[in-house]
Amino acid sequence: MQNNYKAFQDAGVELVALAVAELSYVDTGVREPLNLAYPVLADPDHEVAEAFNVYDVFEDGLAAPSVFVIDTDRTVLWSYVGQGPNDRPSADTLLSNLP
Amino acid sequence: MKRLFANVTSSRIWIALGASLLVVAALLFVLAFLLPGSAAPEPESPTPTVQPTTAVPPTATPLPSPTGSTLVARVNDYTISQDYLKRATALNQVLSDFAGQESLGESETLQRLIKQELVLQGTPAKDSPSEEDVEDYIDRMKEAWGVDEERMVSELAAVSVERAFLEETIHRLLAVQAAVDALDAEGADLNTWLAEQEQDADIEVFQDVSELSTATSAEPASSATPVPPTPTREPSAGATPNTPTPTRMRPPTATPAPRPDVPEVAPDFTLNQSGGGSLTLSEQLKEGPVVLVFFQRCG
Repeated sequence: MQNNYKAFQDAGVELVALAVAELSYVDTGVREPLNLAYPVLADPDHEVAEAFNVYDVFEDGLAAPSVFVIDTDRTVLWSYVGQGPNDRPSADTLLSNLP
Repeated sequence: MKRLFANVTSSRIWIALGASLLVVAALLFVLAFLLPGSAAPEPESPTPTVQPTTAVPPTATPLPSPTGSTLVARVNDYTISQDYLKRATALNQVLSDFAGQESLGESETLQRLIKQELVLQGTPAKDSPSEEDVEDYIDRMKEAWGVDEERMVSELAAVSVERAFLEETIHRLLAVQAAVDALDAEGADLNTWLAEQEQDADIEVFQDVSELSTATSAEPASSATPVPPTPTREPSAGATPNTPTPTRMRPPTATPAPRPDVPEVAPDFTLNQSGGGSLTLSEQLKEGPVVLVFFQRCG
């Protein structure tokens, strides 16, 4: 992912990750142990997940794994909402859908 | 040692290092980008292998290690055996499962082990992390992931990994992190530093180089020979027959079908950011487009 993170940076986009969780959880359960180099945000009240319509899709109180490619004018250029816990687009797919 | 957890290491460093906490885990992250089958070639910067010095011919004969396990790589005097690599990869897989993230394959894990070793060898010896530090870290992981000791140990055992190996791995990672923190405190440019270490080190990888083509390397491409990405990954020759193969297949991803209720215009938001501060989408977008990734919280 670091490698691909660089590919994203080279493409001029920033990766921003977000989890429906308390900040402390995001610190010690996600960003630090997984050593993520990009911003990881906490959405404990799932406001943002709800605003993107990805909250509680699986009735688990969590966000569905999903990706939004957002242009500078906030237009959603491309999106992918996983249909299951491990359903995620490949890097190829994502990189090919960048502006 | 609490500081290690509270510590905010700059992105730059970790990008450069690619040496992750949990050997591994670096990029476990949702998108599974590093899985060999899905790794994307970088269009403008060819992915170097470890370094030119590591580009041994595929016919290089793996060395037998003193313990009898086939060696897969050597960094100066430090050797990495097939068995060690398999266990490191299997450990990664178990922890990734706990975290609800994708795991890394063997070649990526090997790249990280090599870089970690470069950091450890290239920095002055420090106080070794204590047993307490290691247990403290493991406790925090378990707590964060909602996994109890029994389950952790049994899942490790299922892939022939003992708890002691987890402890050893965490110990090593804490040492690496301390070394990186020290370098950062000195104001070292990690990219440059690591590239120099790699140049100076005697590194050999006793594997078909193409197998390492999807490895992480954030160093400048420099004179490294680009290697075409390999779409498939074969089990390495010399693998211990009885060792469970740590490969986990990713479920095939369907062509995305945009959900009708996904917003056409992203709602703006401000959220707290792990490591401190907050991020506002509209502010971030002034820097360029954003790929927003929702993690499915685990635990």
